[in-house]
Amino acid sequence: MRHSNAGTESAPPASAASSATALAAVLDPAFLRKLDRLHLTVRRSLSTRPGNTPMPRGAQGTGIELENYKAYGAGDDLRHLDWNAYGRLDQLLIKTFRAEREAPLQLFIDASASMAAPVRDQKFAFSLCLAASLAYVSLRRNDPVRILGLGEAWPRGFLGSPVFRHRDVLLQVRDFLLQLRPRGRTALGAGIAAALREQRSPGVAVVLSDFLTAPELYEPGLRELVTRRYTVAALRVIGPAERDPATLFRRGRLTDVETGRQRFITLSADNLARYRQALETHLDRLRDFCRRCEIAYATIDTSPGLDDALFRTFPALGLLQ
Amino acid sequence: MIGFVEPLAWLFAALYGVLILFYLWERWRRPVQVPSLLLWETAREDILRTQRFRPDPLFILQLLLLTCLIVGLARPYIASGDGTRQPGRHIFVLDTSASMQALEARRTRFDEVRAHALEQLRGLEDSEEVMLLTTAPAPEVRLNFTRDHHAIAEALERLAPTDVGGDVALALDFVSGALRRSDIPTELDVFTDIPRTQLPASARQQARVFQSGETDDNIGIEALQIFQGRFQDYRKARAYVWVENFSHHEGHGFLSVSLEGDAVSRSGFTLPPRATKSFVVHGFPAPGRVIAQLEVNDALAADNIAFGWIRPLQPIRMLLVSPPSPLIDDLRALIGATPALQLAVVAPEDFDVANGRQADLIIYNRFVPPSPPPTNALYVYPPPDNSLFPVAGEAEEVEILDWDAHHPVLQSLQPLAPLPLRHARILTATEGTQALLWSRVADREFPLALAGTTNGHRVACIGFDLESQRLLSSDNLNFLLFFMNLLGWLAPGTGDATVTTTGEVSPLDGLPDGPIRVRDPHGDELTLPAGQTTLQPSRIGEYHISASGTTRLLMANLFDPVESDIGRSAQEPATPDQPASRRAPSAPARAAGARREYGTWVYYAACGLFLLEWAAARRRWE
Repeated sequence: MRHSNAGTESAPPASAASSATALAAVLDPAFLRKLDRLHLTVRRSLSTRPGNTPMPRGAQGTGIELENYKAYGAGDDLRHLDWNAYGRLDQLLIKTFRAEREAPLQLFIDASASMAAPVRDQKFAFSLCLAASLAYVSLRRNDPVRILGLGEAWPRGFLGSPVFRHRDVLLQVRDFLLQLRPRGRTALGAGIAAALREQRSPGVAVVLSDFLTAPELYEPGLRELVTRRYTVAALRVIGPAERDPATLFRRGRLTDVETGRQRFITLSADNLARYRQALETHLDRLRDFCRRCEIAYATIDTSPGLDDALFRTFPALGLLQ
Repeated sequence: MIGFVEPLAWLFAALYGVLILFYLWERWRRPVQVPSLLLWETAREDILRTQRFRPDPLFILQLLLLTCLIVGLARPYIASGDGTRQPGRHIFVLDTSASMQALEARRTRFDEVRAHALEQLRGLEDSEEVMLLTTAPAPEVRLNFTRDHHAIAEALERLAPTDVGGDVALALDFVSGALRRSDIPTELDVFTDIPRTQLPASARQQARVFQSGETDDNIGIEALQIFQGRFQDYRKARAYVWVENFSHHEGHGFLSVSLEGDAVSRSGFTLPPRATKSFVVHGFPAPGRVIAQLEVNDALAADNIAFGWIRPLQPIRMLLVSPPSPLIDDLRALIGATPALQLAVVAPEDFDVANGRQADLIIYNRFVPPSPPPTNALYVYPPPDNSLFPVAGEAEEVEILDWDAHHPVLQSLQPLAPLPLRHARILTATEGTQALLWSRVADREFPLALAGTTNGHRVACIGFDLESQRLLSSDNLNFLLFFMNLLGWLAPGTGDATVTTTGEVSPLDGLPDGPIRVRDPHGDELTLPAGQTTLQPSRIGEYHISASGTTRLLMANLFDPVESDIGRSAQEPATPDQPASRRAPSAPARAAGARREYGTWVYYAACGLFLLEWAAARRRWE
């Protein structure tokens, strides 16, 4: 693909102002009280550090909360054998416990220029709000949170935050989010891979992006997250103008904000149908890939608002409870 | 030969530029930033990537469509024939009747049609001949066929509407004769305020009518009649004024009547639409000219003024030369009842020329002098052997069978009741006299009364015996009126003015021989050709007529309801197929032979192209 300085440098003014305004709404105490009702759902975690997040199907029997009994099998730790039950019932029963570990949350935010176009969709600001909300939900249970902005604008392909561990640092989370600007080209795969090289313990990984890049550029990154035993959620952020470009133009000189490439398109009925077909194909391929890789996937529309995503889509997805 | 009837339509060629601009605008694209072109890869990209103009098939179709429309407007034609060009002829008929003075907006109807005529004239080629003809007061060729368009234009500029009712149909009849006789294609252009539908059918077919005028806003004086008997004092004179509202809305105004410039009465009035109102004015303090004037705000001024005349009381000195006769008693009784008449009686044997010269009128009863004095005279029942009126015989018990209704003596006696006359002489009309009454005996008609002018004096002769008819008998009232009229005619007032209507021919009697000079109401003076003793006034107002020191006053009025009724229907196109606007210089009369227009076919082609363009555009968008 052809590179264009204009395209790479001129991300639409996603506007720090709009991001700040959106984040201010998230940090509103009333909204935070609504978020207090939510907590992150983790299917697995390989973290060894104790925490407050129960691991439902943890194979590790250590813990303080008795969960169940099971018949002894070869290889079971005899330290968990219930000798009292053996004395009364003459059966070998092993006690199992619910483990409680910390569930590190890693929020990967696509900070490429495409997240700022079309401007009226406010995809990037919406993604920041989602990230801030998820970070708060996680920090409230003292789970560590790290935020990573992905994009070729940064030399390593990402800009990582320090690990936040308590909700008192929520303002620092906001400040880090406000540092992110949508610019440059998408670096989903390379950015995730580079970030994972610094991350040892797996946890929950949430990828917020429009995934408007070639599948071969984002699939390796997601696949690596799965390989590293992350509980992965891929959230495709989309806006109304992207769904219906007829609201943007009739006869347009279309410019790719990342590459600067141009096309002269007249939005005839035929072209509109072709666009919609291409969008459906793009979303279907992403959805199929996520299903194959056991990645939770959702298309998040910016128009219904944050509440719809946090209190309806995410619980349905199993990401929040 | 190909030509265009409306070449000005090519001005619409500027629309080509508009079409190209439209295409350039159509190539403009809104700059839109999209997150990625990934989703637009399958969309069909527009062929033109730049704003540089490149025609495409749709543009070509639209260009052809536009061309067809413009050509259709230009009305192309192909003139067949031998191709030799002949100069055409044009007859301009201008309506100069009074209604053309009506004011429409800021200028008169005549100004409008004159502007049309000048525009038409400018559109002609130098080789084309033009005849200029006006309609009022009678069809008149102002300039015969000429190629001197400058002279035609000057004549047009000099023309002015008259105060006379015109007859456009008569003018068109006159012109149609010229059209038939012309061996060169000739066009007829009529400039009038009469709608084309009201013209004769034949004229509608062959004439191009430039009609002007719509307003009906007019209130006019339709009549001013002065009721004053011939021998009546001016104090008993009455003036009747009829005012009519010709418009279709209510009218208001004032009517002023003045006598020699002094106001006699002033009345306000309100007239419903199409209504008439009469005013009676009496108590005139003196004789003289009466002017009735309307103070109204209407479109036509010519009928807002009317002129009348109140005669002064002028005694008539009559000398009756008669043997003893009952007629003397009758006349004395008549004189006693008529203050303006004075009578002296003398027997025929006592009559001499000196007596006669002091009288205004001499009545000879049963007597004809051998050498009558130079005075107006009435001869009653002349003897058979007289030298002035040859008598062919006698007739008994005859009746009046016919009369000259146009003679002023008989104008107020219609119909003249048939009366048996006991004794009558069979007269023979002499030079300078004409018969007033006729009768018949056996197989011969003969005059019963004669009147005329002999040696500059008015002379009349009654051929029946007034003695036996008893002038004052109540059974013979018509005879009395006839006799009084005859006296009035034989002794006309010296200071009387004649009141007539414009367009009417008025005789100029009583003027001495010599050139007659006329000063019209506008102050223009003209000298009538020798031998012309009539005048046809074409303007309202006073005509001062003089000849060898003798002056006469003629006052003309416009009493013509047809002209005053200026309302016209909405303007109509010049011809069914050609607008009244500026016409192409290429007149059809140019080329000999037929000419065929193809404008309609070009419009058909435009329809086809439109359908094709629509289909192509639809296919493109789909």
